[in-house]
Parts: sequence; C-alpha cells; structure tokens
Amino acid sequence: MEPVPVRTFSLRKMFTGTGFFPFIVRRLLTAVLLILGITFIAFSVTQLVPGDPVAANLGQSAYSDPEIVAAFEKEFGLDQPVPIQYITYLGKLVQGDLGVSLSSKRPVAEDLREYFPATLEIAMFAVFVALVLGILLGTISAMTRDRLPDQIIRVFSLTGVSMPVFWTAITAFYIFFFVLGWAPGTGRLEPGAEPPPTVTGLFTIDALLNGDLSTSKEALSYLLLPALVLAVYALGVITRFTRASVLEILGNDYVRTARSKGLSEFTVIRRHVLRPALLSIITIAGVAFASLLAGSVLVENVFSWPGLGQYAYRSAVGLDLPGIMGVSMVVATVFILMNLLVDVLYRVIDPQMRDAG
Amino acid sequence: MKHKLRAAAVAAASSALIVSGLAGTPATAAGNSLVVESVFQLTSTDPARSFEQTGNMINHALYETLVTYEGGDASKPVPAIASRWTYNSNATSFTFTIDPKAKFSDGTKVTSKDVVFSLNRLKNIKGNPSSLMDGITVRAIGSNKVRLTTDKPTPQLLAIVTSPALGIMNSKVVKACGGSDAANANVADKALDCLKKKSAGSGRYVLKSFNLTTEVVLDKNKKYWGGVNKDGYDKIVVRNVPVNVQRLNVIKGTSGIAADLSPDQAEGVGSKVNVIEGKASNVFFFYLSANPNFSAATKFTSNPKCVEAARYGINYNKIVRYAGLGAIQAPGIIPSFFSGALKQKDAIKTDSARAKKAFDACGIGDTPVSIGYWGDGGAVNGLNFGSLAALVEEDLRQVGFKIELDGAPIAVSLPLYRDNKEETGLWLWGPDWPDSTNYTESFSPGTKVGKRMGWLLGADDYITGLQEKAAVTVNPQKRAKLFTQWQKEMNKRSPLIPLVQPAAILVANKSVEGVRDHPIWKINLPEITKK
Repeated sequence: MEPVPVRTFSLRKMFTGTGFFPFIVRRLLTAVLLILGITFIAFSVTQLVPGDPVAANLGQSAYSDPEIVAAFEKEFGLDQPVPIQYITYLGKLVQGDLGVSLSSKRPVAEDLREYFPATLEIAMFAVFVALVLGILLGTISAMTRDRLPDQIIRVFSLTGVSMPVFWTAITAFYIFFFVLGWAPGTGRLEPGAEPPPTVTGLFTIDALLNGDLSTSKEALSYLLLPALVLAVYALGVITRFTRASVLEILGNDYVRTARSKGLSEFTVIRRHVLRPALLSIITIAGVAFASLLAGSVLVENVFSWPGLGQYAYRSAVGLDLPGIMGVSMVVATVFILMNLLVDVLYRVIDPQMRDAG
Repeated sequence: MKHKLRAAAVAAASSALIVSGLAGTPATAAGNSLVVESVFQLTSTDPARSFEQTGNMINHALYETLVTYEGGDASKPVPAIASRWTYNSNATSFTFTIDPKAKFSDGTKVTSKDVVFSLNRLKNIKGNPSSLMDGITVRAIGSNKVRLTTDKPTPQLLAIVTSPALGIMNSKVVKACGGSDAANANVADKALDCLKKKSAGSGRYVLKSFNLTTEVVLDKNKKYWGGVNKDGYDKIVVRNVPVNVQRLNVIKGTSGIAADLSPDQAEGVGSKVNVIEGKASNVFFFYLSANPNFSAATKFTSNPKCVEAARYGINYNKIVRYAGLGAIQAPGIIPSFFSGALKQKDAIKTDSARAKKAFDACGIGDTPVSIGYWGDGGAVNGLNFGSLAALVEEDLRQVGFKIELDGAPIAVSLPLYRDNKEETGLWLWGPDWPDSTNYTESFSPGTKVGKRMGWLLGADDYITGLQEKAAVTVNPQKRAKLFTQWQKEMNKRSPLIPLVQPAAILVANKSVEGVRDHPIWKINLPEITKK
C-alpha cells in the first residue's frame, strides 16, 4: 500500500514558505505593522501643526470661557499628555473605536460609514473608465504610432495628466452643466430627494436593490460627470503607460513570430502583447487609484459630493484629530489592499513570479 | 486590424453617447420647494450647540424664540412665542408672557417649563453659544410667564433673546431624546444625534433630514400655531455648494437663492435673478499689538505713535474699491445699522504726511513686523483676507514699515490671534447678538478682543468708563450717544483700526420673494414666499 501523504500545519512554513497562503499571511502581517506606523506618523504630524483644535472648533465667545474650554478638552481627551492620547487612541483602535469627531460630535466610524461609500462609488466608476478607455486608447496609440490617431491620443493623454483636477472639474461643470445642460448639477441626487435605503452606500446599487430604477438612473446621472473628471488624470497616465508598454513588446521576436505564423492581428495583440503589458499597467493602475483618492478632495468640493474628500478637508481645516486619523486609516487600508491586490494579480498573470514565490 | 480598431472606436463613441443621454436635463427645484445654496458654516441643528451662520439660518426656521425681528431689521423686537414683555427701569428683570396659542410642531402647548428647560440647557451644555446666557437666570412664573433676571443692568437682553441659540424647545421631546438641562448637562445631555434627525420647536418649518456636508431639508410645519403661510414653500433645501457653483446654479435656475456671492460675482448675473444688496454685519479691522513684551516689533507697535502712523497711512478708499459694490469704509467697529454707529463723515481720512511723521516718532525703523490673518484663501462676504492684508501691507510700506505677510490656515492663524501671539493682525468681527454692547463688551481694554490685541484692563480707563456706562444705560438715546463717543475715543486711542464694512449680497431667482439679509440669521427663511 502506498503511504498517504499527510499535510501537517507548520507555523514556520506559514511565514517562510513560498506558496500563495504564506505569501498572503506575510503581506497581511506587514500591513498591520504598516498601519501602526501610519497611525504614529499621522498622529505626530497633526501634533506638529502649530494649531489649536480647541480654538478651531469653538467660537469666539466660547473660546474665551475657561470653563467651556476645559469641558471641551476633557470631552475629547485633549487635556491628556500627547503620548497618553496616542496610547489611548491605539487602545481604542484595537477595539474598532476610531474616537469621536471634534466637528461632527459623533463616532468617526459612523462618519466614515456615511462618507466612504460616496467616494468609493465615484472612484470605482472612475477607475473602471480609466482602465477600459486607457488600455484601449493606449493600444490604439501604439498600433498607429506617429500617425494621426496616435498624435491625437497623445495630446489628449498629456492634457489629462497636465490639467489640475480642480480646473478640469470647474471647466467640465461649466460646459456640461451650465452651457450644454447635459449634467444635472451638484450632489448625489436631486435637491431634497430621499436617498435609497442603505445597503452598500452606493446609491446606484442600493436603488437597484430596492427595485427603484429611476433613482438608480438619477444617481448614475449625478455620478457621471464628477467620476469622469476624476478619471481624466488616471486615464492619461494609463493611456501613456499602455502605449509605452505595447510599443516595447511589439518589438520582441515572439511577436514577429506570432505574426509570421499567420495569427490575426487581434489575437497577436490580445495574447502576445497585452498580456505581458498588463504587468506594468496593473502597477500604474495602483498608482492611478492613489491619485484618484487625492483628487477626490477637489472634485468632491466642486460637485458638492459628500465623500471622504470633503470629510478629510473638513477634518483638516478644523484640526479634528480623530477625523484626520480616521481618514488616514481608511486611505492607508485602501492603499495596502490595492498593493496586495496588485501583487496577487502579478502572481496570477506572471507564472515566473508564481514559481518564485 | 484597422477593422478592429474602428469597431473599438465606434464602441467608445457609443458609450459616450449613452453617457450623455443618461445625464439628461438639469435638475430643478421640484414642485413647491426652494433650494438655498450657501457654503456651510454648520455643526448641528441643536440650538444649544449651534452658533454658526448656516446653523442660525436653519434654526431660526425650526425654533422660535421669545421675541424676534422682522425682515432684515435688527433693532425692534417683535412678539414671537412671547406675546408681550415688560422690564424694570434698570433692565435687570424681564418678564415674558407666553402666547396662549403657541404650540410646538407636535401640537403640544408651549409652557414656561419649556422655556426654562431650553434656556437652562443652553447655559449648562457649555457649548459654543452658552456664553449668551452669562449672568442670566431664568425662572417660571406660573405656566405662562417666565422671568429672566440679571445681576447688572442688561438693556441688550431683548437682543440676546432673539438669537436662534435661545430657541424654545419642546422639553418633553428633548428629554425623550436624552436631553438634560441639569447643571452637568455638558456630560448628561445626549440629545445631539436625535436633534439631527428631528426638530422639537414651534417654528414654521420642521427638520426632515440633516447632513453636515451636503444638505439640510426642512418641511413646512403644517400645524404652525400662527397660521400656515399659504405662499410659503412646502420644502426648503439648504445645500452646501462652493461659491462659484452657487453663481451658475442660481443663474441657471436650479437654485432659488445664492447666499455667498461677492459683489464682483453678483455683477453680470443677468436679468433672470434679483440682486439683493445690504450691508454686512461683519466689519474687517486691522490692529497693532499693544503687548510690548511679545516680540522686538511689538515693543514699537504698542507705541501709540506707531498706531497713529498705521491709522493715517492706510488708504481706505482703495480698500473700499477692492471690496466692491455696496461696501463702505468702517468709520468705527460698530456696523452702520446698529445704535450709535459713526457716520461716514467721522471716518478716518488717509493723511500720509501725518502718518510719516508719526512713524518717525514711533522709532520702529527697520524692525520687521508681521501681519497675521486667515491665509489659506479665507474669504467672508467675498473679501479675501490675503488680498486685504496685501493692500494694508502696501500702504504701510509706503509709510516706512517693514511689513511681512504672515497668513496661515484658519486652524493655525485663529489661535495665534486669540492668544495675542500676533504682532499685527487683520480680522473681522460679526455680532454675537444684534446690539452695540456686543462691540463695547468685546473691544474695550481687557475684554475678549481687547486681550487679543494685548490691550489689557487698565490700559485706558476713559474708554473702560464709557464701556461700563453704556452697559448699564437703559435710555436708548443716551446709549446711542455713549456708543458714538466710545467709538470716537477708540479711533483716537485704541490699537484698533476699522477698515471696511462690506456689502451683503443675496442673489435670488425672480420667483422668490421676501429675501432680505439679516445680521444674525442671514436669510429669514420663514418669511420667504413664492411669487
């Protein structure tokens, strides 16, 4: 009888092994350390700013009243030494408590639950548009190198990466709302409209889940312009990178071999050009997503979009430390998850990396 | 390949068409509803915790006060929840009789218990507007009267009572929300969240929904005890919108009122809208620190000769021109519509020769001196602090000062100003309550702004004497004279230099009537009607 191989659990292997699971475990452990580091840096930076959260959050009269100032400091723990404040924050963070916002006076976690889905909705749409159009336009540009389509696409992509996002937002709003009347205006829905019952926080999806097609369509119509504006920069970057990658790969022998074997141009591009190009495109897509989060502050402001960007701005202006920390945590987590996703996709796409572990 | 590319291009173009088709036509204010757009200055709709302009505007529609003002007026209190009131000769005891018809939006009768609860809650929550109740004690006299008493004569009490922070709340509803008026209400009161979901007042509107960053929706109170205003809007949506977008929306007709346009932005808005021009209650001022010990520069800025050099060196006409349509030079710190305000003829006139002579006598020479101000693009009534500071800098350089601009974000610059850590500063003052005592009590030596300027109690006994006399004088004419005299003396002897009182601009769709600027609640929402 053949001996049956027995799989034994080895803690050491889990950290040092070359398989997929140890890889994920290692990355998640690193993520925890990264988040801890980010809390420390974010906390320290907010302490370095020569501002006073009490003055920023209390009115002129209240700030002059020592009793009111003392009550405010006690309520938000600002009367404690900074290291104690940090340790208290970490202690609460472990329990999932992000503290209470100085400006909204409610738990930061609740604030984030309200604002993050709005940003997620706009960012997801923007990433989708940027990726699909960026890869398409980048490929067309490379395939028509130095001809008219290439020139047009290059001008377009260069404009996308060069225009400041707030300017793009204001200009787009002026043209598509004010002049052409194509865009419905600012906000997520018509003024005073009842939002759909919350399931995901994404109005387009929640309305559909509620069987309310007209609200979903309305939400989509409000989403389009800010999302497209947000996508412009990422679209420019992805287009340029795709073009560069495709051009590099087009010069390889195996592409010439594929063509000489009589494969159709579409098959050559899909199988032998785009697939290897995807590695660098995925990397740049991660970077582009980061730029979306940064750009969302300005786009959300112009379009009165109640997302994380507006919340971050409000927290920063009001020196709302728990709010700033909460936003930092969310953004850091998104970045880490995006990086993890990119690494996982690398392993899926590139067999060499999969084998290397 | 060409075929595939063409197909892809067609697909992209089709997507774009679908996208543009989905966008459809612009949203308009649906049905009998009004959209009011403003840059939010809002923390909540709890009167005891809200003291910002947008909060005042909304709370004024949700919560009635004992007395109030009509239209844009801020001088003659009229009945609201109290149908009549009396006060003693030295203005230390005010008795209000509650209108027997007054009812909250749930139909409950307003009683003296509700008034006592609301005012004590405001006092004990120790929130932003709690200082309005400083020195005021409230007690019920039976079920339909309340008496507010003060330790010292307080003729401005009626003006204070009009503040939306003193809105009367349904005590039963607020207590059910976790509200408290106890001495420890600052920790015991838990009603904030609940009051963001529903209102508990007797105003013409009730709260439908609240979002701190996007919009607050008000529905008409269909049980309003004073009789429902048939011409009033069924729904008012107050939205948080950047100023440049406000302009486009009001011109396009997707909003009814734009609250924050500057005079420049209000020009050329076209014939579809009305521009309502008033005087802002904010006065921009410049000061030189009177604290000689803060820095090398303040050794000199505390010298009255340096103040004189700045006072006569500033080109006020240029600043007024920059402020644009409807702005006036501020002859004193009290705005033009309050009791005892100075006239334009009393305003300081630029006198370069006198300024240069005073500069030489001051001795500051080449010592650099900085101007602190709200520097990250901060603007109020369309006036940018950075631009104003640059104008002042230019004028003072011509006098001889080595001025450095030192603007910073509000969270950084405001504490420096409040803690008297500026060499000179450029700020504004908007009234906490609509009465000139708010200025005498805030700018005299040793008072709130007095201390910020390093001008401490004892620095000028004559001005302090005028301040104290004005505070206890009940007769309106005598009070007005004292305010006038106080300001004239301030213009001679204080480190304060009033600069400009800008215009308050409201741009409204022509179908919207009754829009007036108010110094405390900006727009009187319950008075607005549809044409």
